[in-house]
Amino acid sequence: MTDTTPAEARIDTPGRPVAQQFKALGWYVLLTVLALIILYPLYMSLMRALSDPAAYARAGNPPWPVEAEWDVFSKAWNGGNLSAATFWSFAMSAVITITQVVTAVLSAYAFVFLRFPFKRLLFVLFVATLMLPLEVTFVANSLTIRQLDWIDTLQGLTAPFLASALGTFLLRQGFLGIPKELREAAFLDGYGHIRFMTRIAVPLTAPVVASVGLLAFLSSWNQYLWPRVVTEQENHQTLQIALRRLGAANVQQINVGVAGAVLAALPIFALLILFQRAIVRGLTAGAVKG
Amino acid sequence: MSTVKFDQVSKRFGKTTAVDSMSLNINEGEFMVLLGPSGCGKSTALRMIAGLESISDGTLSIDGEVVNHVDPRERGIAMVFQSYALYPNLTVRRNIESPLKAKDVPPDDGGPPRRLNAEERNARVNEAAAMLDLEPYLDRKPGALSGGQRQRVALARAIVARARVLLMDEPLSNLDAKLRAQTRAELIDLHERLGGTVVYVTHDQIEAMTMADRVAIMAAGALHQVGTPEDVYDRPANTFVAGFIGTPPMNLMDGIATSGGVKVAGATLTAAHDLADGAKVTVGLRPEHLSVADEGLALAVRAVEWLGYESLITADIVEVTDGAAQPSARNADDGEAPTSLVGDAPIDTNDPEAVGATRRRVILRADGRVSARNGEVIRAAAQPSSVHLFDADTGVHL
Amino acid sequence: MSGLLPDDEDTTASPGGRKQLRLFGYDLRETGMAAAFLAPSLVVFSVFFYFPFARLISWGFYESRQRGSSYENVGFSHFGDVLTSSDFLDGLWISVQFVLLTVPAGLILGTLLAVAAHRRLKGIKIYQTIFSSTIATSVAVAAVLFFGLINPAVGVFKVDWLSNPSTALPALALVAIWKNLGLSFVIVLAGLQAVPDELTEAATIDGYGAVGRFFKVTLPSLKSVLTFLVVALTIFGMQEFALPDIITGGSPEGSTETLVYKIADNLNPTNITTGSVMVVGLFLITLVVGLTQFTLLERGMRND
Repeated sequence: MTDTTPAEARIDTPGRPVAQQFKALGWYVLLTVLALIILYPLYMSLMRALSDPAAYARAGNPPWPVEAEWDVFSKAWNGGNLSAATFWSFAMSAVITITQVVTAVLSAYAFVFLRFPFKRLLFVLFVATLMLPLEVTFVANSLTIRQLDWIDTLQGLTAPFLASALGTFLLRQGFLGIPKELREAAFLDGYGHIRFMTRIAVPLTAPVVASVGLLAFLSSWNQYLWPRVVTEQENHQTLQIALRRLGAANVQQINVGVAGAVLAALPIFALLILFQRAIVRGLTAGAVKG
Repeated sequence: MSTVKFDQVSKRFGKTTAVDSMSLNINEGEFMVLLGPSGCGKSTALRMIAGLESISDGTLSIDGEVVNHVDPRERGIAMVFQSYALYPNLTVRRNIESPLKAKDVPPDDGGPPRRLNAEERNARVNEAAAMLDLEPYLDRKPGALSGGQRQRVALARAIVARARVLLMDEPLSNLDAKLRAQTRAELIDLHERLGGTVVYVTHDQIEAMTMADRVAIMAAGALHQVGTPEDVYDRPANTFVAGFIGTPPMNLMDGIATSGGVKVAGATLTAAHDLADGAKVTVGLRPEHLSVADEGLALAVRAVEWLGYESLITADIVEVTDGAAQPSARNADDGEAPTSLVGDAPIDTNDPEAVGATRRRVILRADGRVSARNGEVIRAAAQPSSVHLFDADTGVHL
Repeated sequence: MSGLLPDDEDTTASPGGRKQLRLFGYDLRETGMAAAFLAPSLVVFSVFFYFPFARLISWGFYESRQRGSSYENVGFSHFGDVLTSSDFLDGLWISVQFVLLTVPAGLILGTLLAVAAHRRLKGIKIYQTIFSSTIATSVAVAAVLFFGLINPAVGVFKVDWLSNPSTALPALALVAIWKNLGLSFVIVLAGLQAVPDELTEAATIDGYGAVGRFFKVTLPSLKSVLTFLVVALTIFGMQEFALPDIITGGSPEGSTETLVYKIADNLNPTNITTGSVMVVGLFLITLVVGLTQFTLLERGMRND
């Protein structure tokens, strides 16, 4: 979140100090209630995960653990074969993230800093891919993957996501923010395009590059439809697919399923807390610029 | 040290012509200032030397070699940008070093241009940093420097490669007034020490007058006059230069040639010329060359600006008949404009066009203790040698 | 989304020209470099976007005979037949219902959260992080969490929404609203942070109270952000697949078979051509929504 001063807050300041404090207290109460509501599903799931299923149900699903079983996470990990799933999720997300950043940097650089024919048409072609959601193309794509014999492979999981129009778009905005004089100075200094891109343009847009990378990681980690289509063997599935097995399969083992979900969400929660600013910048770039 | 030669060089952007067949020779070691109002084409001319703009027509040579199609990095030029264009992600040292790493430069051993090794690069950077008092800041990023320091880093980066020609595009415009005056002196000093050819673009005539060996005055894509600062001040080639140079600039008024002088608004000024009687001319008089006298031009005072050691009197010329001034029909004391005025609009005396347009308003530079008052009609005279005459139609100095 | 198309203006510091090869005013070396830079993306897009889409359209002309054992080219009429079939229209109607259930709620809740969290209080960043936390949850995770919450047997709320055709879809919508709340929140908050303080201050001096300021200044300034959010949420809603697939499997009585669920259902060898036509239908719908977004945003910018 950016460090802007909400005028709302500043304007409310005149008034007696005591009244002000009550006002602030009121806001804290409201915000806390809202936070609790939002966290409720997660919190209750955690309590359930930690409890013995039968005892928890007998106790009437209370907001605290009942006959806590701390080994539920290891149960989920081993029972759901989550180690393989975690490996595939990480491998897939890492490959997609790195490749997507590279291809997006290259194409955005071309759109901003190079002169070539049909630039506008090519850009429209890029944007058009945003209009073709995966839900539209996955059938034909899964056939392609089958024909390539890429089912249950890393290349099958990643291939359609190795380029990103959204990433290109975000980086293009970033590159456009580099002052024209800086480019000219670099060319006079003798920089070629490759050197200018790697030494100046990319370092200067590092926050945008980070946003693009984080968004790529986040969306590929949470991907559901595609991994489901191109994986068949259990030990080639990603976490999200393994969860479906783990969670929905057995109502009696509901706590194991929930524990698996918590494990699957952990890396992304960690990223969100560590890099909240960059992620939010990426998510909101389109909205606020417009 | 190098020469730069514009030969009938033009630059067109679509249908607009930014520079119109400009010819200019810049000599070796010369500090040449391209001066003109914004949009006059001076920056475009500079960017053509740099190779940042292509040349639509004509030839541009550096050291006799036509460079129209030479890559910027091979032209042996360096440039200081208005915004300094420092790389924000690199330290001051890396910024200064960057041209040395990216292109071949003449080494100090006198050999042909080549990439310098790390040791040579360091020596160059240290030398430039010492020259510009940047040693304490070499490991900082540009963001941690003041405006003046950034400006010096940009200068250091420009001199480190021993460029044949140093180009500067309004390098002082982002500094405050005090720092600007100080930096002007430093630039003159730097030029004297390095002795290279400098092409310097500015819209600020004080910069031009104080630093230039020669000034090239441009307007609307055309070169109006090239000469030393004294030349362009004392002998403006035309009414544009006359109305642009000087603060405030030269007063311009309509006149008619008489034998041995010119007649302006009924008053006669003595001036040497060989024009036919009755020829229409534009008369130019510097504010400091007009002095309060018993006879001469009749001026209705509109404003007196007291500046301490001098006063600037803004006045409107009043028609003189039979030797007597005729102020307006109304009482001049109420400050109303005399009827002979062209307009009553406030005049921006810094705008040569506006001043030229009225042709009725003059400014005269007087003693700090002058006693003129608003509405009063005074008389002002000038030395015959200080009266400039321009062709009324073409504006060319006669 | 301003300046979606690159400006015609030359954005390069194109050198005045080295000793270069030029063709139609373009530097061949630079053009070659651009081709090399764009090639990786274009290859991916060609193989996985342009080509499959063309393939789907071409399949759409065929009609399945004898449960997919042979296909006959029946031309455009197949598109008409499938797009007006009750199968397609049912799926579309369920997706539209899903959109109606999720979008207004997401919009309003996101705005309320953002307004509440857009103020200067100690520790506000923690609240903002919590409010945006659902960004991190995937559909699969959300599905599992709610499976434990709303479940007749073991749920915290022992309700049988999922086996009742009239409540199953709203139950899925609830999960989607919660899951999208983080996104709605950060987008509206970013919009709020972009409102210049002077505007709010001017309205205060003009005598507007907190509520007046919200409707007079804040809401109008959020117009483009909210438009963006509506479109994003609508497209998410129209493309919903994972929730019914994981939680309900389309049941009960097909009441949660969204359009994409139907498409996935139809994309098997027996009736893949039907699925293809449905895909084209979905694409057209997405396109219309996307274009609407574009026009609305453009008009909004012109008005500003």
